[in-house]
Amino acid sequence: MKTLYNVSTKYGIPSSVILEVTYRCNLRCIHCYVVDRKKKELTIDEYEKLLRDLRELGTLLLTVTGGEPLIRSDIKELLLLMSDMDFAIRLFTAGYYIDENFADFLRTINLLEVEMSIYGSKPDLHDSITRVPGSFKKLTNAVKLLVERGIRTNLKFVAMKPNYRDVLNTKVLAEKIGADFYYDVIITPRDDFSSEPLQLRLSKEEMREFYSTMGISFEFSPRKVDDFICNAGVGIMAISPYGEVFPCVQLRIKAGNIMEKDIADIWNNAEIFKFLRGRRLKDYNCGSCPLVDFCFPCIGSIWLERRTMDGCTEGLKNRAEVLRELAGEK
Amino acid sequence: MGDYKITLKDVFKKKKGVAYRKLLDETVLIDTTRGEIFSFNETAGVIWELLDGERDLGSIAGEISSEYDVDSDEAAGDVVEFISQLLEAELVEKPA
Repeated sequence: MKTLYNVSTKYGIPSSVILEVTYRCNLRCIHCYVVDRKKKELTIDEYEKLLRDLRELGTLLLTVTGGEPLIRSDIKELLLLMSDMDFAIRLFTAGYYIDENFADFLRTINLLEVEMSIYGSKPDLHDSITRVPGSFKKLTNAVKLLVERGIRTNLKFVAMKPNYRDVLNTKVLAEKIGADFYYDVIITPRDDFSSEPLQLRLSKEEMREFYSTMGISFEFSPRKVDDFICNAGVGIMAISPYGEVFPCVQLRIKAGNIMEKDIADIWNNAEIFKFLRGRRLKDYNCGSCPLVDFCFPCIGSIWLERRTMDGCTEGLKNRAEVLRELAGEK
Repeated sequence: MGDYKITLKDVFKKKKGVAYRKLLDETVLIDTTRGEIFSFNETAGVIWELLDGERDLGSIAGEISSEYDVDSDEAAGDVVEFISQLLEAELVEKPA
């Protein structure tokens, strides 16, 4: 099957680009990696030029994220611009600002899916993580509005110490209200490298309990050491609200700024992109790690935690060990 | 439109919600309503570009015939066959 990854590697283009359109947010999630540096965000005119350049470069899919993208007063105009330029759009939001009017608007654009985070099956638990009372109610209402309009809606559960035991109830709730359900156990430092969120990370025993509850629904197969470790800088890149360009939202090694150079120039010539395209799985520690077939290597999270792309993190290692253990029992 | 007989007088347009990009020798599409990816070769990509909801298939076949220096009957056959594939894949529709 054709994938955007195939397209990227065939043509050497960023077929998928992550646009962090703001770092502002009305929620204060306890584990959030985003640090709002309160600088001047790109204007709609600056985005128009960027989108024209990305279209020229061959980008097809835009992931619009934040912060909370809907906090921008011009978000409708921005999404419409993307749609009119024939991009497909994924929207990551907390759903807080989705009302009937906005849900109707979303039906009119090239929207592939909306992804929102859910942290529990009950308001008290979810709101204790977002630290905003009423955010659960707003979220479930947003899901209802989107599902009613036939918009593909994903709910993602980030498993942490305070909520991981509620995952099954949350999955049942998500499916009941018509959303697809995903989960993740990886918590990273903030993007200024501060490590407070790591206190929320599941221990190995908690991960074992979590995956035993959820079961392993994915198949493991041997990794190919000549493959890229991930798509960062190979088929995707991320652009901050201030115009900074990174390989992804976690691997925040600056490749350039679109206010100083054209995005095509940055994509084709930035040292970090050349470096990532020149390395394969075997060139990282992962290539010789006995756990690699049970791991989803993420050099971005390694970078945030260790400030180097080599080595591993406790979270990645624990997850891979638990998955290997449980896969052996299957 | 399963049994619809396509003629050169027909007019079609790209279905709403289909994002696409022309690359070197192919056109890649994402149908956002279904989350599916498609790709066409260069000639099919030119036909796709020309499906603007205004010009008929005969006119599109004429452009293909002159652009690629192929016989007009052969171009018309290729256009009709490609449109039937697009209809089958639900990527085009008749203008309102």
